[in-house]
Order: sequence, then C-alpha cells, then structure tokens
Amino acid sequence: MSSAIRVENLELAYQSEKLALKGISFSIEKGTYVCILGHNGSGKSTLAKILVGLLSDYKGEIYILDELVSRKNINSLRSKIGIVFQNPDNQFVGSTVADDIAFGLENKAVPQKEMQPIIDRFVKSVRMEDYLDREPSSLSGGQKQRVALAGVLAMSPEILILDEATAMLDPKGKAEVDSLISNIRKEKPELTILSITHDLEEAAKADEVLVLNDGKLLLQGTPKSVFSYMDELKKASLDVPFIYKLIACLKEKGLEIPEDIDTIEKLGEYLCQ
Amino acid sequence: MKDFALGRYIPVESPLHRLDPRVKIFATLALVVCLFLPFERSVLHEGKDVTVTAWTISAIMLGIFLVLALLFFAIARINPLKLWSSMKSLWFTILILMILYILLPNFTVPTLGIAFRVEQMNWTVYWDSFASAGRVIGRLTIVMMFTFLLTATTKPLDLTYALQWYLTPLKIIYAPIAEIFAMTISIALRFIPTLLEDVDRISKAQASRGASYSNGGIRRKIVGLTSLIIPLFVSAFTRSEELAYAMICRGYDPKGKRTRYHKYRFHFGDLFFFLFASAVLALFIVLIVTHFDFIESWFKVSLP
Repeated sequence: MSSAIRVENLELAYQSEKLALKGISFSIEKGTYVCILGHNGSGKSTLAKILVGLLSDYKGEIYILDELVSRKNINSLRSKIGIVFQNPDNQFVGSTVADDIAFGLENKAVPQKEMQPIIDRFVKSVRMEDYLDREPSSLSGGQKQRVALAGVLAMSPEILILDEATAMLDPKGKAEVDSLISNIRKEKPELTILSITHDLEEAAKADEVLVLNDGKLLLQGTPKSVFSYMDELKKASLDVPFIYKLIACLKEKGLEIPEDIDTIEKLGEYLCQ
Repeated sequence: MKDFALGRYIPVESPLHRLDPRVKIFATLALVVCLFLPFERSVLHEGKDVTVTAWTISAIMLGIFLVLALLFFAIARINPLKLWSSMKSLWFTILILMILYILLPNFTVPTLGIAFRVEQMNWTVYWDSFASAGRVIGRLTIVMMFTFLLTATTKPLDLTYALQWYLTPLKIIYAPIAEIFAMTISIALRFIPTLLEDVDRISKAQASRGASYSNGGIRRKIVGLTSLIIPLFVSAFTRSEELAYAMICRGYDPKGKRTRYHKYRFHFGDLFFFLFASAVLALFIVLIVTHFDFIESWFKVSLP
C-alpha cells in the first residue's frame, strides 16, 4: 500500500533551544481520514506547517505521495496538498466568493474560459452557490470556511489538511463544515484527509487517530484502540469521547459490552435488547 | 466605526457597477481634474489687470458637479446618505479650513465685499475668504462623493486589475511590479472591513477594562489610543502572516505565470461613458483657456 504521507524522525526547533517536534515518525495511507489530536503546544500545528512546506529547517525525512520532500520539489508537491487554516478571515484572499475560489486557479494558470465551470462546480459542492458575488464581511465564519474548502478542492488536491478548520466557528458553522467534510469523504474516497483538531467527537469518526503530546507521538491507531488508553490521554491533557467513557464506566460496573460498539446508537440498541 | 463607508464595495446591480473599471478610474480622474480647475477672470484694479476668481461661475460649476454626483448615486442605486457618516468626521477639517482661509486670505483683490471689520486691530475680513473656504469644502465633498462611488461600485479586485492595466507600461522597467502592486492594493482593500471590525472589537475590550478615548487631556487620550493601536498592529501582523501562509499554500507566486478570472470587454456603455468623461474634460479645458468668452458670445450675457 502506498502512503500519502510518511514522516520519519521529524525534528524541529524554533529559535529557542526547545524542540517543537522531537522525532516523530508515522505513515498515513492514501484515502484515509486521519485525525491528529493534541492540546495546545503539542506541536500539531507545527507539523501541519512542515507538511505544506511553510517551515523548511526541520530534521528528518518527509515523503509525500512516496516522494521525498526537498527544496526543489516542494512547489510541485504543494499543488497536491490543500490546507484549510483555522481563521476564516485570514485565508480569504479574494474580494468575493467567486474571486476567492478563482485565486487558486489563477495561480495554477488555468485558462480563463475553464474557470467559471470549475468555480460553479465547487461552489455548489459546498452549497454556497447563492453567495457567488458576496464579499467576505457579509459571510459567517462557517460560510467563509466552506468557501475556503471550495477554493482548496478546486485545485483538485490529493491530500487535504484541515488545521483546526472548525475551531473558530460557532456550533452551527461547525456542524455545516463537518457535514460537508463527511460528504467529501463519500464523494472522493481517494482523497486523503488529515484533520488537526481538538474535537474528540470528530476524532471518534476517523479511520485513524494520532495523538501528539509535547512534540512526541504518544499514540497511534484506530479511534477505539487510542481511546482505550484513558490514563495516557489524561496525562496529555486530553479527554476521551463521551461514548468511550460511557462504555468504560459500564464495563467497570460489570456489564459486558461487545468490542464493535462505537456509537451511542449502537450502544443504545445493544442495551435495549 | 462599522458604518464607515469610504472605500467599501456596495454590491448592487446597476449600470455603474457593470462599467469597465478602467473607464471608471479614467472618468473619476477626469472629473476630479475638472473640479479643481480654477475659474478666473480679469478685472481692472487700480489701473492694472488682475486675475480674480469668478465666484458665480465657480458656484454654478460646483452645483453642476454636485448634481452630477447625485445623479451618479441615483444611477448606481446607492443612497448618498451612506457617505454621511464618513463625512461627519470632516467637520474638524472644515473648521480648520475656515480659520485658515480667514486668517490667511489667498485672493489677490476682494470682489465680494467686506464681511466684517475689527476696527481696533485694523483687520478686515472679506466674503472672499468664506467663498474660498466654501469652495475647498465643496470640492473636497464632491471628490469624496466621486471616489466613494468609484470604490462602492467597483469590486476591489476589479479596481486593482484596472490599476494594473494602467501600470503595465512599467513592465519595461521591472517585470512583476504591476502584478505585485495590484495584489497588495487588492488585499489592503479586502482587509479594510476586517481591520475596522478589529478596531471595534479592541476598543470595546479596552473600554471594558477602563480605557478611555474621549475623556481626559491630550496626554490621556494619546495613552488611551496606544491601547487601541498596539493590539491592532499585533492583530494586523498576525493576519498578514497567516494570509501569506494561505497564499503560498494556494500556489501564489508573483513571478510565476498567472491567468485572470476576470476579463474585461469594452461594451457600448463603457465607450459612451469614456467619451462623456473625455468631453467634460475637454470642455472644461476649453472653458479655462478661453476665459468663457464663447459662453458670453453665445448667450449674449456678460458674466460677473
């Protein structure tokens, strides 16, 4: 199986002596949905910046789509990675929704005649087709993030990185973006999604979870296996999704819960039997 | 602060919005030039020919321009009162202008008579001073109306594309200057509302901690202002860094080959408006050069 992202012994120090990343190694398969968890200062955003080539003075090796990242190929590799950042305002370059989606296409030197169909398609895919001529200040945070997502997807990336893309949104905006991302997963199963997040419920739905703590990779595995290490997660100042806490409590009380239960619905069904 | 309208695009469907941005920039410049052209005539003063401002003509012209500007507002389907909140902050400038024109009269010979006299100081104030100040205020107001219309009816990106088009001759000197300049301006314009929201947010946050921008002496006001400006700069720098990251990640390379989403085709309306602005400019230049002689001969009137 070829990997979308492979990282080996990645180390990075900011100007201070302190290492932000202390030797991280992992590999992400193509077409998977991976969440990176970690509390503030754990190095997860630093990792995202390195992966998209914004920080280059790291030690270690990074392979993107099985190609070793170097100064020479970073620009061509970057076109295969799309990233949505946290702040909805600070990544809105265009003055209207259409202009913002066009920005990436302009950079890619897509011929002018081909732009409008691409923009129409992607603005529809994020359900913003009624807002094409709206300026950013008249949009909500969730709408801006959806535009950012459309702008990134219009570049047809193979890897999508979400750097806390929903962290600054209100619950409604967050729900919109989340449902959009699960749609994208269904429609483009070949797209690798790497989501950096605080959100445990989102991580519970991922194919794989990586937990970073203090610049080190603490845990890696399926959500179920990762969330079974409650004590380790607590040390990394992270919680466990409600469902896993509930299952652990029930088990403590002597109830037998089958291993394949990982949602509230399934648990409810099982308990009512 | 949020209703500060200057420099903000107002999305409405109107003929002025559809106009080619290059034509709009040209027309704005042409009209502003016309507005600032002096209307003068010669009078005999103490046996010498002296040029003085023709106040009646100047007032009529200002009136025509005001009507023209209001007409454009109507065509653009924008309420001119939207500009009012931005204009209100001008009263201080107006006051200073009045005082300056009264203290330092800049006319050669008074033609409008004496407004008042301070006998003790042997100081005479002529109506000409008030007229000069009024003219400057009128011109500034109309310039603000025109430029407001330009930015209100043109998307910032269209505006920069137009500026870029005018700057393309610079390519001879150094290749990407027009491109970089256009991008810089477009981002600056795009972030005006965002930074104004920041000002609003920061000033409220600081006010809730006891900062005051309106009370106390000048010293306190300045200290109070730093509590607004410093966080604003910090936020602006954070924003610019993140924006730069986002632009790099989306493949922006000022030296690389880029295409454009917008293409401008010269429509009939554009041509008409271009000719209109050119005609106004030409007419005014003729008027100035001939000292309105032909108006006098056409209408058989003698201008004041």
